[in-house]
Amino acid sequence: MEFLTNMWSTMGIGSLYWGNVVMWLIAFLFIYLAIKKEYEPLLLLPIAFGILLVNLPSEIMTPGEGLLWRFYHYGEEWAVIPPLIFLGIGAMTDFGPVIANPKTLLLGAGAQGGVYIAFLGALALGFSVSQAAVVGIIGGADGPTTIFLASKLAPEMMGVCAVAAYSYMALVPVIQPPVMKLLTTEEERKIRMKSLRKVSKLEKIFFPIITAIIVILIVPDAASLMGMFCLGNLLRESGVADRLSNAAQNELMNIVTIFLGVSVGATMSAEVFLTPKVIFVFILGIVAFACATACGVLLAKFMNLFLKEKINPLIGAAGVSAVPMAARVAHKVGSEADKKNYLLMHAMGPNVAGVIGTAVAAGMFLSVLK
Amino acid sequence: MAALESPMAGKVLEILVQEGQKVAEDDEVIILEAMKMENPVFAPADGVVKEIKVKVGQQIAESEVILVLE
Amino acid sequence: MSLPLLVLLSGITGVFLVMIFLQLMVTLSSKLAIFLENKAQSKTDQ
Repeated sequence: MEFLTNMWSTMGIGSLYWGNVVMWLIAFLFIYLAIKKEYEPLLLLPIAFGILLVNLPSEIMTPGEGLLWRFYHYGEEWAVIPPLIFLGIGAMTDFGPVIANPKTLLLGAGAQGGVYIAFLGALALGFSVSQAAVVGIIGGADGPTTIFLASKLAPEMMGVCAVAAYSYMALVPVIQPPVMKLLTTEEERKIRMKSLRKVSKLEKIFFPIITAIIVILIVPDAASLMGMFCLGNLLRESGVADRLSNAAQNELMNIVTIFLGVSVGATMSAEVFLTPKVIFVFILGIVAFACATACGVLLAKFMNLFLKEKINPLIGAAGVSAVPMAARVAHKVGSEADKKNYLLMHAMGPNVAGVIGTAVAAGMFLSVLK
Repeated sequence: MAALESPMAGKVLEILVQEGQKVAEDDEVIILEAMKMENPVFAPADGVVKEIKVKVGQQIAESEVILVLE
Repeated sequence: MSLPLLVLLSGITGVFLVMIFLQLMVTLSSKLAIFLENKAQSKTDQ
């Protein structure tokens, strides 16, 4: 008899509560979405499994002991992994379209408007200022930046905000087009843009160096993200460090993605996740995306008032940094209006500028709130 | 005679016409892949394909000549 | 000034400030790069 009670107390079933089972179901849903619908499977799968693991009774997330806690502590709490991901993104990004048409940098800033609208919305719904900043940054559509900011300002919000950011990134093709069509006329969507000029190698080498200097001089708190980002890009464009550039965008990126995913999932235990605020985060997330799209399009229309060579306002919507989904959406909506209109490369300009914009917005939040 | 210039940089995924074939304006002639997206390129005018200057799998730059119509 | 307002204003100003400066400097650096490359080109031509 004593043996049986002993056995029972070492087993985990006893310490399970209903919330854990709900989290299992959420994990199963994410696993389904990742495998069947291919919604960002490279991230969603590790996240989903992290959720499952942390909602099984074990010490895997116990501070100072558990495996996933160590991943989380050294990777995210110390904010090491998001900058490493930025290193890889930098090595993958071709800034040619931005250099050929630097005006698109402004569009990358404009789309950050959605961040601040969601920030105000979150404040109105009763989030603290720090939490509202993290909710707002979802509107930048940048997963690593969201996680980076959450780790510094509101670690309890990290899991849900990361999941919201990544799942809405997968939904960019659904969220953006209605907003874009609402705010533009058929004629505006038909605007064809002059082909981009060729960008020389030296220009591409100068770009990451100048970007690092300017961004860090103005916003020192964006240094870890933008510093790594520019290093990655320099490795790529230098042409002499292909091995490092390839490692940053392939092996290193894949390795840190595993650690990032599983430990972000591990922050979502039932006690933290199952609160009414989570629903608000998802609602605000979609508002943030829609507003970011609107701000980008409106800024592009505003710039057209002054420009001799008109830009197609659709590319403003690509200022949300979901690369390259947002650029693809701009291209698709444009080609629906005029099938011979090829906006894809033009939209890549605001798109990669949006990555810089979101990192800067995160840095500005940090500089005031940390 | 009209030349079709590539509207964007990309990889030639498929060539849908042959030399000597008659095409009408706005017919799809090749499919270009860029950013993992398939983009059809359309004939600029009615005519007969005189020469195709690209091959499947080839990476082409913006405003490179894809084919010549007659 | 209340904290949220401060966050809002400094954020928007910061983002646009960075982008405006960046736009300026990228344009200038492009000019410099093209100038340097042309110079190198004409040297090899001689």
